[in-house]
Amino acid sequence: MRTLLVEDDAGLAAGIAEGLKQHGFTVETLGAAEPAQAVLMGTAYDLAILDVGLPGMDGLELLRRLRARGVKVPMLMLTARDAVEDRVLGLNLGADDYLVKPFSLVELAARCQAIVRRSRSAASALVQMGPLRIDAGTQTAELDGRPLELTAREWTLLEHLMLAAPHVVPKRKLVESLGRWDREITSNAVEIYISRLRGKLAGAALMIRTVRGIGYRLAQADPVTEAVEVA
Amino acid sequence: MSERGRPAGTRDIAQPADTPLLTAPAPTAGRNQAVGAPPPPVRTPSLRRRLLLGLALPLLVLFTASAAWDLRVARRLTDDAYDQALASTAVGLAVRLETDADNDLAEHLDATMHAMARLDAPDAWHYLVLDAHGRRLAGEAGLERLLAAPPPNEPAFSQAVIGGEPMRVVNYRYEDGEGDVSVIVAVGLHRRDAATAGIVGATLWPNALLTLAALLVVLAVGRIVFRPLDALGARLAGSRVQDLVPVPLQGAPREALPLLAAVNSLMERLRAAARSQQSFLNHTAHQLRTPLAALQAQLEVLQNEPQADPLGERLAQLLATARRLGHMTHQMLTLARAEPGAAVVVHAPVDLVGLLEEVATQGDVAAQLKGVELEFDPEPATVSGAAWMLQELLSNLLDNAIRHAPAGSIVTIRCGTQADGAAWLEVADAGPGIPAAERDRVFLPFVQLGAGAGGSAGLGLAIVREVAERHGAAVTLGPGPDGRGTAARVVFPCPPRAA
Repeated sequence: MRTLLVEDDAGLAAGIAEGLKQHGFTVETLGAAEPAQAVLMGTAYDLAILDVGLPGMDGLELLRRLRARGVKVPMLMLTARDAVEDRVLGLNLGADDYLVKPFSLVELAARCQAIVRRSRSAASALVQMGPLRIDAGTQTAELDGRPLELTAREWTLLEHLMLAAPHVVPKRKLVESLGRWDREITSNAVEIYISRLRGKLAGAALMIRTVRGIGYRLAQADPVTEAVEVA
Repeated sequence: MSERGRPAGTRDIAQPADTPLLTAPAPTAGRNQAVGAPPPPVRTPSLRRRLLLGLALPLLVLFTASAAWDLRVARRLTDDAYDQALASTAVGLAVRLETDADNDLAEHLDATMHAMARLDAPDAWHYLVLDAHGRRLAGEAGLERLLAAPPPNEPAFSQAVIGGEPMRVVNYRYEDGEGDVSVIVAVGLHRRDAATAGIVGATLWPNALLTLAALLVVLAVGRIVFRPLDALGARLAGSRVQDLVPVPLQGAPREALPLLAAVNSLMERLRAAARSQQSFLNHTAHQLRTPLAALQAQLEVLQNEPQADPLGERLAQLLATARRLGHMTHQMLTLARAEPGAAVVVHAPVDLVGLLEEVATQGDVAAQLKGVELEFDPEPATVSGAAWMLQELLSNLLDNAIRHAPAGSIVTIRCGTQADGAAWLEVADAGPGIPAAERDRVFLPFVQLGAGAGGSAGLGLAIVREVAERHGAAVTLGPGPDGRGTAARVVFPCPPRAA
């Protein structure tokens, strides 16, 4: 994933670049917003990570200008301030996600992959998460390279969970997404489909976790790092 | 512990009549609680009392003076009347003697005087008539000692004791053709005194009633005059003074305006101080967080490269420490930002079910690592408040619960609306629980039970309490549903009834 990182703190920039490389990203770094604007307008990146607190023009202003000029690259904002106004402003200006420092690299990587997944699913048909890959055009799925047999409803649920990952999807939203085609879907029905999906994912590195009372989320079957923070 | 997390006076509108005007919020239990003797009681002067005394005392003094004056006037009036009667008797006696030709008047006089004495009981009558040479013409000889020599035809009065009784005495010298006749008449004082008492009594009652009525009017007016002050006190107590919102000046009595203006000016200074503190906090945050993020990122990178032990082990510890530092910084900044005056908090309706959904992801990730199951039970509930603060509150409660819950147990997170319309939320775990004796103390910053469970800074509950106070909510810690573990319950205030 070709990534542009705009961060003025050299130590942090190096850490992020190295860390994302370990997750398979290709990272280039810039220390200020002005050159980044030119670069992002000229070159095609899969992802941009912008620090809000940049010298000169700040990250939010850069974001605004880029979106105003039709740059559609998925963008994730990094901030030390965590003021709610910043967060809301950023999302309103067109950022795809927002992360407060300090954060774990694993979470940064997961969020980056999520926003790229979401944007790609709009632009192209393929969405990938670890060993799982789905094709929105053909409505097919593959696990570890082998095709996965899914009914139409199971596929819809899986797509919804993948695009939302690592977030929990409330059950009512799953009911809604199924109900677009079939008005008689109840939440009990969703439970049945989920358990079938679970069966088909058995043994894989991904699993569907139940968060009782809320919904489901697609997660790593065996997480090894410490808990992540949700900004 | 069943602690009301909100400051006193936030919702009580009815104030008792004699409370001082500005009531300082009572310190919430568990915070800065002095150990030992209670503080000495504060003497508060009362305007009402001052007004009442200032009006009542002069009234009573005036009443007493008026009564004394009435007494004096009554005495003088009765004295004049009775003395006049006494003088008339003396004159009558003298004239009778002058016209008596056959000197047998003495017996007549005696009989007359005895009849008068009987009529005037219990006052006794005594008399003596002497001729120009001092010879007794009629009456009692013993009265000679009372003889005076007044100018002719002018009665002279004096007091004397006759037969053990105090008496009023008149001396009258009558001039006839043959020389002077001296008449002495004495009468008791009982009737005279009774008449005086009667007059005084008749005037005293109306005076007393008038004074009493005046006092009651003063009391009633006092109450009416101070009503605006009571209303002002209620308004100040009910206003969001804690959030440094200026007190509105309209409708306040003019005399209170300087005081209110001073309060508003003080709050403006506090707000300015809070703004500069907020600005400092923001800059501090920025400065601290970036190096912390760099530290953490670099350690993670190192850790991902294959390491020979024990370096790998040490890296894991370094990384854990860096994460703890980052978490504690976040906690401290949250706590500072949640304090009153740190920022102007804008309240908007917050859906608690949405809040639970937002927190579910972070919670489930932590729960999965710990081997704990989460169970949510959201019922519709809405709170007027600041979403970021409420999210921190819930997030900290959930964090604590997961931290203390044993692997394999269930942490429950519930929200709902009570019958009286108050929204609530509750997080419960099956961990070691909090002993009743500690239930106040755990809310203090940096207090942790046990040996600091897994990297916690001890600020979570302090944040929870601070956010609860900003929202007028009450936090209670109690045992979990089956008597074990901990259940933290936050109950928000009932929504105001629509007018």
